[in-house]
Amino acid sequence: MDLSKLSGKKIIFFDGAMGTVLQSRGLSAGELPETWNITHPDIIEGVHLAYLEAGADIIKTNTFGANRLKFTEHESDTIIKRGVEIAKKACAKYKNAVVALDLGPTGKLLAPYGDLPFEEAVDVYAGMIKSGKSADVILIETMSDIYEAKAAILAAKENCDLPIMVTFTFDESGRLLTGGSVAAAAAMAEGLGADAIGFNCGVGPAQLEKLLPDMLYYSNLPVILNPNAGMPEERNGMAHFELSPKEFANLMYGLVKQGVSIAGGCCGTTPDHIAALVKKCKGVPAGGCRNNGLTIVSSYGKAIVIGKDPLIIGERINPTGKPRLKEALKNGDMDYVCRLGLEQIAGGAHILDVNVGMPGINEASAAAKAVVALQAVTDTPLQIDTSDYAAMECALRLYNGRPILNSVNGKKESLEKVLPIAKKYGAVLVALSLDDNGIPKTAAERIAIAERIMETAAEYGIKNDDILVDPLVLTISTGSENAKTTLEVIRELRNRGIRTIMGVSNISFGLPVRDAINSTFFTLALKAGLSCGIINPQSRAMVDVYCAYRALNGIDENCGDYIEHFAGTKEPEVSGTGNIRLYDAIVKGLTGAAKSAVDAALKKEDPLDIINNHLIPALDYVGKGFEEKKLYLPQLLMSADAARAAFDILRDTLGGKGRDNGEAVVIATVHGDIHDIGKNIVKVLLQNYGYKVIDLGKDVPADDVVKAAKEHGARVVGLSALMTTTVPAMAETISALRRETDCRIVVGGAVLTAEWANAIGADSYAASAVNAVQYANSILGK
Amino acid sequence: MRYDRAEALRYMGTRKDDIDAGVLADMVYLKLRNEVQARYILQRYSCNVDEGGITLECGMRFISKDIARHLRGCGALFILAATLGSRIDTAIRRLTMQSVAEGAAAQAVAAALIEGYCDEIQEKAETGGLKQRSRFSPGYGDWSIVEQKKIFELLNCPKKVGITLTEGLMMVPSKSVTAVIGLAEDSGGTVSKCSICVNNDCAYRKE
Repeated sequence: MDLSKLSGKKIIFFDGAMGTVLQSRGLSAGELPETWNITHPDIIEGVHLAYLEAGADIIKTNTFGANRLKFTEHESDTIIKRGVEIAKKACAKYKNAVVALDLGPTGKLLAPYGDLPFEEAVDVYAGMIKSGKSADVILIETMSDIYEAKAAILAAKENCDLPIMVTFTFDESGRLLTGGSVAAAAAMAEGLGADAIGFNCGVGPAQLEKLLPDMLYYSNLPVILNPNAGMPEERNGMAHFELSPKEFANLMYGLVKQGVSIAGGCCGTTPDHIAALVKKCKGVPAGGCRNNGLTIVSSYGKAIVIGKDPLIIGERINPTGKPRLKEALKNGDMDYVCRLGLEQIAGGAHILDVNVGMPGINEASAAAKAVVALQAVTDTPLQIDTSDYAAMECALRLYNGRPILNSVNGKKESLEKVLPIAKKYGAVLVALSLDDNGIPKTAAERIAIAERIMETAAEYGIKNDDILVDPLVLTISTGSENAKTTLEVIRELRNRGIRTIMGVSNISFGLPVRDAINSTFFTLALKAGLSCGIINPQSRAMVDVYCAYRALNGIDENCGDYIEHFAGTKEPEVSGTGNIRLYDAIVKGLTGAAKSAVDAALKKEDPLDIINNHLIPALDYVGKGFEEKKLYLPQLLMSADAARAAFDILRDTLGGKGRDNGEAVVIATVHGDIHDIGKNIVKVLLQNYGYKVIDLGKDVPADDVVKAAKEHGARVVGLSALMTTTVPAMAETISALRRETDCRIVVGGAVLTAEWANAIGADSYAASAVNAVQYANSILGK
Repeated sequence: MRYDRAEALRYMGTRKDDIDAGVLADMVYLKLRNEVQARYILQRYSCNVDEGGITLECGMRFISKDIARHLRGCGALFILAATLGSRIDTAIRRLTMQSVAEGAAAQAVAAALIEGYCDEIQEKAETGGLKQRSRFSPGYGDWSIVEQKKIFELLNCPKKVGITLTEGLMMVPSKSVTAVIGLAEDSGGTVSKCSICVNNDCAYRKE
């Protein structure tokens, strides 16, 4: 079945629901329909035959949930093999009929959102595909999470050569359960190399009317429509679908003629619905593939089109010249990386560049951690920036969506190594216009390199639309033509419809007042047609000119964004509290005032004195107030935030050494437990007291806690558990620590009590975050 | 969706008239409300209540003396699963990273939102003239959290509303509720859900 050549040919018809029909044959609620491949193969074959008789060209195997999370591995294998056999047997008399191996969701949410690791999800699907690869096509359906769909597509790509169809379940507003839009789902699936894409389940044809145009616009692939027979209504605890076969066929006809290629049904559709659909739509030519000419990147939640409106890519997650970030990467402190990211988004970044390469760390592992951590807190798409091929593969694989990969260049090795990785993971690729001879002097030579990269990329199946050319810029302090040359490259590429990207600030290297040069050059580059500027969104000058450029160029309707950008420039918290003392600012929980107070105090006092004489006493006061119930949790936490802001400034003054001075405390939420609010509060409080907090995160195996405690020589370990079901994991972690270390252990969490803490062998029970810190202070002598 | 600030403040562990906390909660609510992607499923079953639990018409049995006591006299019940969606979890993590105060407030506001959402669902549910008992969830009283799996099996929560269970039987997205709601001619003297709870030290206990 060649899905790339459907245009103008006959529409292909899918079958309808399996579950709906099985229920009418006696499948009971809660019974797993896949087991009927073993117990009632004749009925399953009968359903297939009824659909084939109705005119279906593709039938779905009865294997939707037959994965090793719901069945044993052996059961799963048997059910799937049997499922494909039954379907093949049914097709014997229909010479054009095709069997689709049906793969549904795992029923689990993937980490870091839930607890199923990404690679395990890939493995679950790989198992199903190995069992069912004698089918003719893979159908990944009812996907309500982009990440899970990615795991399934990768598994299919890695374990068979069959065409891959992917259909997603959107709600009426066009969102997946995990928040993804139609464009985001389309960008990811197409990037990874799916052969057809579409909708199934969730809604009926009428609701798809609004969603189909987006799919046709944002995707180039043949579109599949397998909706329900309308919306369900409940009668006596059973779902009934509203549309009769004729109504269903009529509504589908209106959609199919807009350019759909493959049509069938999902819940509530029967062989009669499919027969009516085939009768109504069989004369309509298939829409086939399109060429939308768009460059799209995406995250799990949203997609961004590159090339229409210029975009800002935040450059600050890059350790070069940033001691604080280096320290954080060395300690695996991804919270700091995330905060850098969130600040840039607040500053106006549309995409974040992520570069974690530095000597002394495993870049692949750091890149993987950074990508996962950032995607747990934001749906801003990421640009993976590395020259380490292992790091590239690791980060692209775990990325939830369609990222940018920065970068490939014209050198032979780079082309050979990077292009296959970019193709496999569907990244939009940054192409640097340099080669073995370095960066050429003239614009024409740089364009020639870009052309050569694009030609080679095309051999790997990467389209020009999926490439962003970086014209590269050298500082004008060493060559007065440098700006001009780069602008010429941008202009020429723009005229040819090629998108561009550039790190803007190199232009001013070696010059004073760099912002003046940078922002003017940025304006000129935007005017020349630059699609993406890699800049520091915390630089006022840069974001100001970006907003002004958009307003002047007529891209910013009614100057709305411009006005909004400047509306937030006042900092209300500072006014009137400018002279407040640090102690009072922290006690009152005023973050802005605490920052100004620290700046003022630094003129008179040593950072360590400020910590010991003002910061710690203020925290002690607040902690005591909380204990005595004079203050409540919100005040305690506002104080903690203010202290943290003050501490951040002091730590920068100490040159990144502030944290290393503190004694290590290891904290973790135990294995199986994923709620970590309490642990996070304890972390901030401990940090404010100057401890070096090794936060292992949530769902942490006992061995990892032991390893960290030994490695950092921690004398105090804090553990949290929220559920009765995870307290046993806490007990295990405690015994593991007892076997190999002599650290003290303090425990806390919603369900714990002092008695229970004692029973599982903890040294101390902390009823609140303040108690946990008091315990650490008592042991560590603060 | 209804936002009850007083409830949010109760979950934050502070007083109803705490102005700082109130402002914090309101501010966080504004940051959260566009992240809500609420869904629910409500199914009605006939049931038989005995001393040790409840048996549904389909044969499924919930084992708990407390739920049996809570649903005494009910010939039918609703099973509810509701969630604010996974974007709320992402937003809470994001806020926590920038400010622990906002993070804790976000937990509390979201908890109040999901409870309010469940109330709304109950208010508009068609009961055929019967009265609804208060929600009773796995983990309340002696009803084991392990029984959560039964509710997931009945309602097909992952597919229908996107709520999944972890190995440790936690629901993700975290701001999700599953519950059984008894239906009877009488309101059963509306027992408060706190009064059946065994955790007498709970900070949120309502007397």
